Amino acid sequence: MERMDLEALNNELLDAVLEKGSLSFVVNRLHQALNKGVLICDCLGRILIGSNSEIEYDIDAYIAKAIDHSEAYYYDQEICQLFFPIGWGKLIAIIIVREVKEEEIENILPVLETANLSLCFYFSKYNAIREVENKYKDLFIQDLLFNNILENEEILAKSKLWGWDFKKEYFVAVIEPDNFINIKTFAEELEYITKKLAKENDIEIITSVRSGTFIVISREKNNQKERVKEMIVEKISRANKYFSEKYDTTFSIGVGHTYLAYKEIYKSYQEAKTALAIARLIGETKFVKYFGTLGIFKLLYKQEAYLLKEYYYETLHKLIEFDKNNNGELLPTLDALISNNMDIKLTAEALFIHVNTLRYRIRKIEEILRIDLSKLENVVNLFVALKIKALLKLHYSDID
Amino acid sequence: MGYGFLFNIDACIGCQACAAACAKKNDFFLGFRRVQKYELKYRGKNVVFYYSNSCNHCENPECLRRCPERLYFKRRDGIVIHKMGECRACLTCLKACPYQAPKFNHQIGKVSKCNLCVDETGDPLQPKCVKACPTFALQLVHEDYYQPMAQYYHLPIDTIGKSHITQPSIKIIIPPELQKNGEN
Repeated sequence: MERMDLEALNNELLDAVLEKGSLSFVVNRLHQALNKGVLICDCLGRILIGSNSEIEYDIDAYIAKAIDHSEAYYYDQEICQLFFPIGWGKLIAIIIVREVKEEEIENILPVLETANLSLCFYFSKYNAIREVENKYKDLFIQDLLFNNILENEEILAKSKLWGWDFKKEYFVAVIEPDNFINIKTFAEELEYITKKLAKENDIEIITSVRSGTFIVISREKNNQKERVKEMIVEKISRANKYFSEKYDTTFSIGVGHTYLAYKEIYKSYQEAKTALAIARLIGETKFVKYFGTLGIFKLLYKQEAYLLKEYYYETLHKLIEFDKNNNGELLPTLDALISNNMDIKLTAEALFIHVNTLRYRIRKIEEILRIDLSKLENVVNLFVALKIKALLKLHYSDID
Repeated sequence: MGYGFLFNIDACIGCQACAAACAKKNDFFLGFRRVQKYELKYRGKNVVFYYSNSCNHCENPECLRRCPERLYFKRRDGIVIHKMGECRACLTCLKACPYQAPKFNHQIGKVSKCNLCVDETGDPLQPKCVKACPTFALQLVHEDYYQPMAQYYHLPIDTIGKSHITQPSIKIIIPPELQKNGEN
């Protein structure tokens, strides 16, 4: 393209971005100018314009290569695609040009460089608007979740501004990363996933961020009156695989009961956080915990530590002593047996021992504790004692 | 988060000035702060220390979740407030709070709790207990994030042991003789 043409293209793109705020116009215009397929994705590798179906490879890997590449662009011969980073100093977005031959790169680069300025403007404007919107949305959500709005009418009026119907029943799920991850990236990824989920399933999902956690507020039933609460949580939880591959971290979810949003949604939030904290306390990771299914732990965490310690030793001290004196493995065996729902075959596999060895150990446990492990009451007592162990570890250094 | 307390165990001399100031502000019959003495044997040494406790304005306030009348709320600056006027003294919050922060006022038959003296005029916020502390053991802090209290769990303070759920807005400076594994 001639210099005059490039200038005209630059003006055209700037006009489109500043006046119409249209990213699709930029892509169409680049497509016309280059006569090639053009995609734009953000710095996290999410395609903003173009479709995912056009990508038949792991885009993240190529974007990582493009970012690491010291040149102004990255060309991959294998897939014949050109990756052109947008932004000065800081990566804002990436233009992907498809079906590019190596000898064409020289002609393509001036056009992409021309688009750089307009795209920088577009993303600066887009990010600034989103930041302000999120700030006000987060403040409203946080006021709601801490019961900091006194009048119900005020909640309903404000929720209408955002297009939410808080006269209906909603629940809150709190998502917390299991390992360290930049919360901004974590939230952006989850926001994208939840938005997609909401669109695919025709449900309303409201999101917010607070204290290193990502908050999801959604309806229990969708517009077709189908129960979708568990489905939403399950689908969000599936993103764990993506997070562990991309960021080497996982996350856990605590879910509260469903309440009328304008009256008691704050309770659901507190319940979700409690569910999350209790499950963390007993050493779980990568879990989904519903407040309604916490069971015995709802009672346990409120007990005085010395009472729990007393119960733990009363129930298991003979076994602990035996293991200590004989270098035994009975307590871990019991733990594994209960974790595997008293299934002998599964437990033996988990412990890498023969079934008969396990049977022998079970007989030994019964003998030492003078109990019958076929009785539910005895199993429950042992189960509670073993769970208490996790709680006690926080208080006493002699528990291991 | 927002406002919270910073408590330096080493600096506290147990003079009860914070508790007295709180009681005075609340007309002498309803002090929300109390100072307790702890004596324990830790790593073969006898250790005596004081701990001053009141409402910790938690991130997950149990009082807020449990109050059936919806009278508790947490402000944007992190302060947990109880609307005393509408309280019918069901005492649910008293039982729910692991720090025994809400107190029942027998004279008016309602529950009340520390509000970090937000009802006092003047700027900036200066709770009476913090102002009264002669050794600066108790201070007001404003933090974005308060660390979970796992590092203090080895201390035999009853209220701390229950803090894993509520996440109190408090930071504690532990003296060397009470530090876990020889470090802070």
